[in-house]
Amino acid sequence: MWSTLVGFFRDNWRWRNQVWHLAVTEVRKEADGAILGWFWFLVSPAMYVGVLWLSLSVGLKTSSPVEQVPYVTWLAAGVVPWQFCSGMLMSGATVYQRYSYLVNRIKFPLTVISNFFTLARLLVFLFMMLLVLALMFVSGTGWSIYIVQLPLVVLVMYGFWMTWSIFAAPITAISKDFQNLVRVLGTPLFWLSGVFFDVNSVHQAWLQVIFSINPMSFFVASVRASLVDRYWIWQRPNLLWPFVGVMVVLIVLAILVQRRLATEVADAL
Amino acid sequence: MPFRSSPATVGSSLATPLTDSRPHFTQTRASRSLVAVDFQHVTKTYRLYRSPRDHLRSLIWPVPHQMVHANRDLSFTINHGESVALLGRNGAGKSTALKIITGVTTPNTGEVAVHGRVSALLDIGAGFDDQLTGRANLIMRGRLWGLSQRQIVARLDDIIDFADIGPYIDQPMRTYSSGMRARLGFSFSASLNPDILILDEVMSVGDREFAAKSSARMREIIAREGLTLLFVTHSLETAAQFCHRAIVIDHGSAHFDGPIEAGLDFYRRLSDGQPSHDR
Repeated sequence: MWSTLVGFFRDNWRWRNQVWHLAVTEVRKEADGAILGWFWFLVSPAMYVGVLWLSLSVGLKTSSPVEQVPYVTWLAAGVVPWQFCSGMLMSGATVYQRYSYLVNRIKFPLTVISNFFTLARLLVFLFMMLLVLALMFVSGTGWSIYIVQLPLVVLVMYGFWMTWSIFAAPITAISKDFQNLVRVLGTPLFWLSGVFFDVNSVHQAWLQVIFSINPMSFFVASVRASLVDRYWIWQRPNLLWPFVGVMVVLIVLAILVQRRLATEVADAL
Repeated sequence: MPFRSSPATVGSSLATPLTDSRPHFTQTRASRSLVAVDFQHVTKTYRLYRSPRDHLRSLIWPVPHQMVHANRDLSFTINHGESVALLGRNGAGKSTALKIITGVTTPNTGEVAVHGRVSALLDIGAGFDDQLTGRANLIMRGRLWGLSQRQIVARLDDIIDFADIGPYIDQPMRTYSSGMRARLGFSFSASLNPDILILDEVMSVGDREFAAKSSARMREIIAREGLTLLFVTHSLETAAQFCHRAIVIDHGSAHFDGPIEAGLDFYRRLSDGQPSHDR
């Protein structure tokens, strides 16, 4: 098991230049197809924020859980990381299909595919985060010292979703059932992530358990902690430790799956 | 007779590997050895499940499946500078052997040694990204081969000139015809100066003009000291044109290994004599 883990790091370090180049190529591929290019990366989260704001704030008169922060800013700080996570949930699990030529036409390490693809999505996410930061600056919400957590949160998101892809992609390659399962999971993971309400305002114990083991919930909460909710993540052990547990389990599963399936993936695609 | 190999067996789970002796794969630089490719008792087994659901179940508990030996106790040695045609009927195991040499798939048992860098054109798709333009694909594949941006730019014009696909070079590859793909794939692979060049049934796609042009290029790179060519084709004339040696593979193992003319005779008799069946 240890040797598999060392192998991951060795492959990814050896291919580090190509990782960056392939990530940039992937982003360009998405953007170049359309005249408006980067604009389309913006439209989807903006649409989400707009619709949620209209229906919840204007329609249901929901207000921001944080004083001095407009609801729309509070929403954007959650929707942007959530969009990255939900995109990675599905596309991270299907990278081998997307890059089948790197699996069975060229000799290329499988974990590096997950790495550069996650990095590509992360670049788009960072671009969106910059816009959120600009929105906060312009709207007068301002920044606080808690923003220094943000780079760390981004790094953990990168690691987590790369691990997810390393775990899920080989299984998806051999089984359509698993792919469908992942697609079905997207819905509860969204509605039970607290992306448009404050997780702490829910008092049912069983719902709290679901929130705490939902990694999307953790990422949404920790980005908000850095921007609008303003607290240190380690001050909320019931937020941090369940996530750490999920992350450790995922790492172990990813190693087991790669050890068992890495040689079968090329034959199955 | 759909499966010629062992009857359905109970598969293995996480705990039990497919075979007891582990395969061995070595790859070194070309200069270390006279031998380019060495296969010793290589067996590659595909496990075929009745459905993807069975395949998924097999991760957790044993599921009945069929074992198909694509390569069975396959042994041969190819020295640097040789041009070898792999001949055999569909499903004989030629492509599997080439995939093992390239490193995209691994054998179950046996020893494989590859000395030198391999450039492989394993099919018409040639490992290109359909969403990217031809030019962007060349840059990406050049990077993956380990070239710097400057080295790529230096070669780009030559590759594009040779492929000769006109304005399509700046169009996404999903719009290409199979002929255009083969042209670009061949131009790219041949431009890399590999130690070992693998061409799997790609020369038959281009038109007459391109066939002539690529034949000339092939002769040129074969003449260059040291290049090892591994060639799969069903066009026996093409095989005779480039290769001095033939290995005839049938049912996954080598049934003939020798001079090309005798090899072609052997293969003709083989394909006339018995009914063909795919694995």
